[in-house]
Amino acid sequence: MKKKLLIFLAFFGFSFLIGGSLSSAVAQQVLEPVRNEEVVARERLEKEIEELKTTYRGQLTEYRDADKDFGIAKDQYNKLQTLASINKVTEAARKAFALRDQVLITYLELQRSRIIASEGIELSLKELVVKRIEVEGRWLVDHKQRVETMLDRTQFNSLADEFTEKSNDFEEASDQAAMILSLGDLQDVYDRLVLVRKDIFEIEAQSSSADRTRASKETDRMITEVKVILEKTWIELGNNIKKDKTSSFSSNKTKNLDPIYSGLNKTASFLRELLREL
Amino acid sequence: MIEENYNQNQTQFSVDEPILEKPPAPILEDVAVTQKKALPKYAYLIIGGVVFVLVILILAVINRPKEQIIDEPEIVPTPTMTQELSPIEKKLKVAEDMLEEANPTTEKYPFPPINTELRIDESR
Repeated sequence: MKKKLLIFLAFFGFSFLIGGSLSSAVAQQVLEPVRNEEVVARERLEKEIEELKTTYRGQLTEYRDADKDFGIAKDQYNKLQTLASINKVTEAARKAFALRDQVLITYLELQRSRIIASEGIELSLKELVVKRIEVEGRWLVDHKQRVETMLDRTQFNSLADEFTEKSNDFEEASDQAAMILSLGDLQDVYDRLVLVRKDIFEIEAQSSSADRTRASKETDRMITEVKVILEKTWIELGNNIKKDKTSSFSSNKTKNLDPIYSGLNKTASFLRELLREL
Repeated sequence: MIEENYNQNQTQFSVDEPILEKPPAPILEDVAVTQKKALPKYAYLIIGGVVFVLVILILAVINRPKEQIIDEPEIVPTPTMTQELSPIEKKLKVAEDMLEEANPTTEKYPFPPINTELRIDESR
């Protein structure tokens, strides 16, 4: 009797385990949607961006420490002027220079990936800025390699000068990236709000009152207003990028983008009101 | 008559009455032990089950009024808690969240704070 009970219990437990695992496997197969290549690529890009953000933060911290060490070594070198202090400052410079290059390489790589992932940027402008970033990135990789192999103190000074002369180009590339990303984000929001408006319009078509028609017209007027400002701003930014003169546009970023931002905020609140009245 | 009942022995006390002469009580313990029968194993299972059910019932009775107390203060549900967002509302919410992130006064990743003029020797 006892033996039979044990066999029954063992069979019950086994079937429970098997049944559970089988059902979960089947459920997984059923629930997992067929993902297309675009979705997979987007997910990969988003993962890459997250990794780059973490790497960038870590490298920036490392660079700050190396910069501090270089400052100390340089003070010692200026005071002592000994061979040991020259050796120390040269090695500290190598580390700080290489990390500075690496921080910029990672930063530009991060901006490049963010631009590629952005949905609101016009393709031609996207390509232009991505190419610009890649050019600066290649220069930095080469500079870093030379820093790592350089031995002489005077040669270090010439490498330092090269970087200083190039810094405006890096800043220009960074400004271009930051500006198209900011405007692209606003464009993306605009596109989404237009889709919401279309959905509301379809519901409105079934029944409408005088008040609702007036509210809808106000909303459409606001959407058109934002669209006009957006188009104007894209043209202006595009011209600045083509001329490699984005710094002034960038320094007036808030002034240039705030009208779009406020317009979008107003549009969103209008749409919410329209939705409430439906 | 009185003389007959009175014990003339001066050395014998009343406590020394012949108690031990009473017949000893029969030992019943062995009989009781032999009468007890061992319970079968399933009986223990049944008893255990009954105790378990009783404990559950007691716990249920104890917990019942607490639930009622909790239910008493009626929480007024907010629309976000109860109402599920419609597809259009969801779209609008996503756009609003993105707009908040896209505020042009904030820059997520500004140019890295690096010293572009690092040099070993000051003079060029």
